[in-house]
Amino acid sequence: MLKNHFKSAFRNLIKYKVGSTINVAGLTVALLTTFVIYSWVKHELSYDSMHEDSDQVYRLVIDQDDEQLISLSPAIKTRLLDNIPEIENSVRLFKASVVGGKTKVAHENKVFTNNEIVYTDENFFSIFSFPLVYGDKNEILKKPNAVVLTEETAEKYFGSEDPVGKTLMVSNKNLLEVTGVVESLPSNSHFHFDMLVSMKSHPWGNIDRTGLGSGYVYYNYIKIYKDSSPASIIEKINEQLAGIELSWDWDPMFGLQPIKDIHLHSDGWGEFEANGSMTFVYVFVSIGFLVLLIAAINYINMAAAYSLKRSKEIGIRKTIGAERKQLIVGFLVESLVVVLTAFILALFINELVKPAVHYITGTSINIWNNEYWIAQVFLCTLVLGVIIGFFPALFLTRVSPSSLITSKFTKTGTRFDFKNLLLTIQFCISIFLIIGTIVVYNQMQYMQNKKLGYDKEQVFVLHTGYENLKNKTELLKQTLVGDSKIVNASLLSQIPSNISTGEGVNLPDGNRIEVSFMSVDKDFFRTLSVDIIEGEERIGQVKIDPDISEENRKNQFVVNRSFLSKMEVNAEDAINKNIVIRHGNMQPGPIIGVIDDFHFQSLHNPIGPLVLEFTPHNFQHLLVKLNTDDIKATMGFIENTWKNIAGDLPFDYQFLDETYNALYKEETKVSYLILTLSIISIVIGSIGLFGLSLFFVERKTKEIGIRKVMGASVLKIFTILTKSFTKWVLIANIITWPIGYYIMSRWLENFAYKTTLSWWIFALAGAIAMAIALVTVSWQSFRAAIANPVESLRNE
Amino acid sequence: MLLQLNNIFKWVNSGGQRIFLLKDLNLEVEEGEFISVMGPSGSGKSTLLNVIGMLDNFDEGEYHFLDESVHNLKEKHRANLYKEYIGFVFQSYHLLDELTVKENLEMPLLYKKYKSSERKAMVADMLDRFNIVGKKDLFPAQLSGGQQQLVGVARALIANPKLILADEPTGNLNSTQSKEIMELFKQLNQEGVTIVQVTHSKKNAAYGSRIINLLDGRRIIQNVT
Ligand SMILES: Nc1ncnc2c1ncn2[C@@H]1O[C@H](COP(=O)(O)OP(=O)(O)O)[C@@H](O)[C@H]1O
Ligand SMILES: [Mg+2]
Repeated sequence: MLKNHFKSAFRNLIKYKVGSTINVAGLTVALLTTFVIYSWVKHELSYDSMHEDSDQVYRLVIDQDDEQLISLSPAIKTRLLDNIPEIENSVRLFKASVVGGKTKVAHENKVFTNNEIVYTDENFFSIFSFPLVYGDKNEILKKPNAVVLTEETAEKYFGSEDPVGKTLMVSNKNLLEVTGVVESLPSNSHFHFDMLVSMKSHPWGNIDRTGLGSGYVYYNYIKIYKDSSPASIIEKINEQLAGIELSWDWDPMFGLQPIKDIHLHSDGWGEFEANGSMTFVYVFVSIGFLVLLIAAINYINMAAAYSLKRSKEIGIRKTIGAERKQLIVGFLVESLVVVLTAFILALFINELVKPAVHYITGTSINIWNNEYWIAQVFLCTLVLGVIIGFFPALFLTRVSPSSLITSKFTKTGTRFDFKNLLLTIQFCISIFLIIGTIVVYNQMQYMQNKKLGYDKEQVFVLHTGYENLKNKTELLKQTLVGDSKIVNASLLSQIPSNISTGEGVNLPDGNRIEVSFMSVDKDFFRTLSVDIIEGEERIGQVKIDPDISEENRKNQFVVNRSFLSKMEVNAEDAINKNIVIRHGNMQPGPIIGVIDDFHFQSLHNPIGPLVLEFTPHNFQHLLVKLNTDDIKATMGFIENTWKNIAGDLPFDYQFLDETYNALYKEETKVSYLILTLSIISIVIGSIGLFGLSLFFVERKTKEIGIRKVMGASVLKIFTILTKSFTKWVLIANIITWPIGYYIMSRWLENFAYKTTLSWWIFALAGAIAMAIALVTVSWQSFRAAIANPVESLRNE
Repeated sequence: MLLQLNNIFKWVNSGGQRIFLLKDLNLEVEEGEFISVMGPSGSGKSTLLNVIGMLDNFDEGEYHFLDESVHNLKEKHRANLYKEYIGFVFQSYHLLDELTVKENLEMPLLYKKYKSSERKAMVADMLDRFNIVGKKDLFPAQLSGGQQQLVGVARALIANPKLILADEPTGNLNSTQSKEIMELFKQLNQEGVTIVQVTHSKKNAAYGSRIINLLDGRRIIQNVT
């Protein structure tokens, strides 16, 4: 019997060519989309599960009011290990790039500065089970000056030679010996490195003497014993670490993050790498379902369109003895054949579009390398097939065989006619996705064009935080400014597009507030065109003398407007008020100037209080404002100047607007994805609509003929034909607008500064959907409208 | 007695009015009879055949088929009854176009869950008996109307029904083809199959042993021979 079901299914597919093509095309695109989303989601959910005991591994963080500080003191490790027996083991990571730009690592004539160098304790591999290619996991990080390379790094320096025992020269002074090679790190790890160096070779010497309250640049991981309770361990950790004096305004409240949760649930200060987000997982799973839903609706609509023809077949089968069950199985076999055809096509196309998908999603997942993957997706596809086959089956097999014989059926139509309802649902989804796309795009544009309060264009950021360069940065600055290609330059401590919060300031009235701070020189304001409200003259006179010692430096500060509102004074009155920053020499100093607010963090955050101080020992970067559009020549000049002054220190630079855009990398990526998925779902919906229009026009052929004979114009007929569709588009708009408004305003709540959801967005989305619907149906309608009426009447 | 209809009424409601499709209809059919139903178009012939074939319900009256009281049976039971005992032949053949002649014949047997070997034998037997072995792999669209109706009759017959219901089986055929089908019916009837056919042609009606005349859903007794 099954064989016969298949035979009938295949022959029906061929018999109803148009419908089958539409179904297979729609489902192929939808399945392809779901494959990509599915593999991306699986990848996101799989982070850090590759470690043998990943369920017992936690990252220690400071956890305060929904904000986390990820990097902690190196002294915590020993304190906890010595006092909390439930902790089996503990490991620290130290990212060399955190404290100063790039490091030069050389082997003979091979020199690279782009290595991610991580210092770690010798038991690293007993907590993180990355497989080793060479070396014994318990030995390789024991000795000072031992380095473990990833396969790529080994290949980069040593080619196909055995790297073990070879040496690498770091910053021209430290010689490291390669003791092991680790397999390429999986992309689903929340941290990556190129070189792992033993903690004993740390550039700062013996870090274990650091106090518990300082050195907050280490990632601390603990492995707890099986069956011990993380909650009680957290309690014990807080007992142990109670009363630590932190130099900024955080309470030392510690917490543990299961490592498997880090990627999707942690977004604290000082993450090792930018993490993903559970929200996006939900967003894409939802979109995946919507796309599948649209394709499923196409299938059901096609079935409805064919129901007249199909019900005759059902009637015949019933009179020759078919049971309803057998007929339903027949329909299911048919839908399964359709989805499986689509499945196979989608697999093929997936291979073809893989590079494009990689480009858009940033993840590359090979379907074939995971045996479960195919099985799972295959199973889901079968379920989809059963679901979409079941609807038409249920309704069509209800037809009574007698209606076939008296051919009443064709007169009264079928009871299976949700076409309009389903069509409306499809339009709702499309309109919603169009609204979403427009809003996301708008917000992106808004952020790009937002008046930041400073000018980020044509500003070049040069990393100057090298020990050997300390005394020459001023010379570098002056040399550059001396050239006409350069307008201005300024030395400063942090890149001004993203300054972290977390310094305490004592106000004159004794209150303490939390601020962001950075160290700048007097040229900062002109270099970035930041408006000075008060004290311009005094700021212009600020002298920076690197020779004065930290203790003897006289502090003076510039604050922004929001600082003033915290302090509750106006700009004039603020001048000469003394404040104390709770770091450095802690000397009170006067406010000598007030600047306008500018966005020194991403637009996710409102502008907070900011304090600028003039402390040269914090300088890490040189901002250079270029004069010209001839970026290339200017860059060449800057690089030459660098070489003359800094010698072979790495020339490490960015453009300020790039650093700004990097803040929205995630959003940009997501906006492209949403755009792509919207287009896909609209295409699938249009395919289905096109199919429906074929049937609709076919059914109306006679009516059109009669109307034409009676003198109706082509336009009139065209209007009649399209009216029935446009009604549903309008209804879909009315349903979707409030939903879209609600969801998109929720999304915009993520941003402190956001575009408005104005009415035109909704009108535009509606208009786009309408236009697409009209274009889709008009081809058929137009053909019908201009057809020779005699022809269609004769056919009856 | 094969079947018996007692005071059957069937109606539809249209604009608050009851329109009778069958009105107080009585009919007895003995096994081995060959009955022709005649009457003008719209007189309820097809409706009557549907009721007999249990494809359609009626609103009042009693219907006995063999030992069963059809009017008391649930839908499913009724379906089982017609599947087992009744074969249908239609004016427009109603073959499944996506299946070949052989597959069309095999279909009822598949639904009735005959074993593969049995099916093969029964289909081969039918093809042989109707002289259409050479056509077994053709699709309905490749056959003439007469040939299609032959297949239709063969399909109705294949599961050995007691009763064949034929609604204008020759309505779309020319006279030679019609004659062929009627001869076939006659022969089947002689072999013991009960037949009820609807026809407009006196000539065809004459093949039957009895004629039933319908007008507006009622039987009329004519004293014409
Ligand atoms: N379900 C129905 N609803 C309304 N009228 C019907 C229905 N079924 C049949 N009829 C009408 O009942 C009459 C008898 O139909 P039918 O049995 O097909 O006649 P015949 O086969 O004798 O030409 C016709 O007028 C037909 O239009
Ligand atoms: Mg009729």
